[in-house]
Amino acid sequence: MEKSKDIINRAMADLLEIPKDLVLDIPKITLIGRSELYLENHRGIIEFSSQRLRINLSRGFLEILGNQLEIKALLPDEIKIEGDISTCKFVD
Amino acid sequence: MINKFFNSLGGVITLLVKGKNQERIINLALSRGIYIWDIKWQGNNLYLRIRSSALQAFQAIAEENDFELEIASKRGLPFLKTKARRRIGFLGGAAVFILALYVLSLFVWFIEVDGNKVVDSKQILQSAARNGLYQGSGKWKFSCSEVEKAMLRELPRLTYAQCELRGVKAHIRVVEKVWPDDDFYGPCHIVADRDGVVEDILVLEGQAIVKRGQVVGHGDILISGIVYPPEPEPEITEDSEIGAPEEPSFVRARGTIKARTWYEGYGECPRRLETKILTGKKAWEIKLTTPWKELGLKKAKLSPDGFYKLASKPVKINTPLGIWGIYINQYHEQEKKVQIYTEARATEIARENGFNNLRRKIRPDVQISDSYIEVLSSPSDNLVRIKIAIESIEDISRVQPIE
Repeated sequence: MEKSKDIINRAMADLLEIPKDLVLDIPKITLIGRSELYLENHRGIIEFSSQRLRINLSRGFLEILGNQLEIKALLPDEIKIEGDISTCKFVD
Repeated sequence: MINKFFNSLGGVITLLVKGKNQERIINLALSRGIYIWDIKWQGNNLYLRIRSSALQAFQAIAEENDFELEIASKRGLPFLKTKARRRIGFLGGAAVFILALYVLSLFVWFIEVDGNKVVDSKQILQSAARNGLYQGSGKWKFSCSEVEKAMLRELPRLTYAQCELRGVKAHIRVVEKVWPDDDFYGPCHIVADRDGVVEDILVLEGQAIVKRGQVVGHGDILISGIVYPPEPEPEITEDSEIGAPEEPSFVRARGTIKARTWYEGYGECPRRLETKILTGKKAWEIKLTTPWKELGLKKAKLSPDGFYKLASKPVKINTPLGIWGIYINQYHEQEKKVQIYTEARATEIARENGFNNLRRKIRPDVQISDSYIEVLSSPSDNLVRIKIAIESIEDISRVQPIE
């Protein structure tokens, strides 16, 4: 049921040329160099240390590895991370 | 930036969170709409920042979930109040300083006069002072437009006056009247401005009275403005009637009369000359003048046998309490030097001095045609004195109206 709804939403977004992050509630990541990362549409923090940060998403989670990681701002939908980012990985 | 400003207005608290799985408290706070930022690990401690208004809600979450909270720092306007209470002296001083600045800015401390060429600045300042604008006067005591009007009334040479206040500085800008030139347009003679022997005559209008080689004195008419008609040739016939003689016409005489003129000058030079030359060494002295006392801030180290030339730079302010000022005195060390000239060299210097004195007397356009020197002093005199006479050719014409 969930999958079919997702397929319909995706098709509608393609048809109407609407950004998918608005329709499908999928994360939007903006990475500025290796030091700043903006993430929209997150679902909370699973794990946070200065070397590893795992952020919950609508499907799976995002794992960020690096050094001296800091959460600069945290809002219900947005998160801004700063630090020496080395890896950014989606995990199901 | 604007966010930071509003945060500091409301107050920002940095918290240290202790407990297990601190991520949980972050998620719980997020779900309750508490804004958290600057979340970071320092060693084994998790630090985060919240607004001071959210502290109670955050503490409630921490108690419910067995977390320990410690306030690491408090920043922002609400926390400045307690600091201000402790530093009441500092705040009082700042308030007094601002008040003093405000009170001092209510007075005029500097006056600048601009645009005057003939009228002396002192006269303008005196006129302004009579109407309330002087150094140290309160801005409420005078009106700029009144000062302008009064200046124009008191100084007839001015045609426009503007008084502008900029902070503690008053700027007086004036424009002087331009009088019509002294040229005569009515009938007039050309007369001699000084004694001389006429060398060259050029008459454009009028009747020349002098001839080349004639000696003229100061005030003699050179070209007359009264022109008599030429006498008609006498042709006597039976029918002819002898009419009345024609009246002379009055014109504005124009022309140039060049004449040989003489000037005399005097020059001298001592054969033993004592001069003081600057050694380049300087000494400084700074004095503070108050209406009650003069205070020496820095004393100059001067040798009792030395010679010094004093250059002073006073900065004075006239206040209602009296004159305040700083005097910066600069002493330039001088050295005595004795110079002995030979008679020939002293004569030459005296001649140069004499010529320089003469040049100041004569107009720059005068051509010098010859010069004579007469030594007045005897060879044994210490002072060589010289009389110089120069011969020149110049325009001696001057306009004089016919009365």
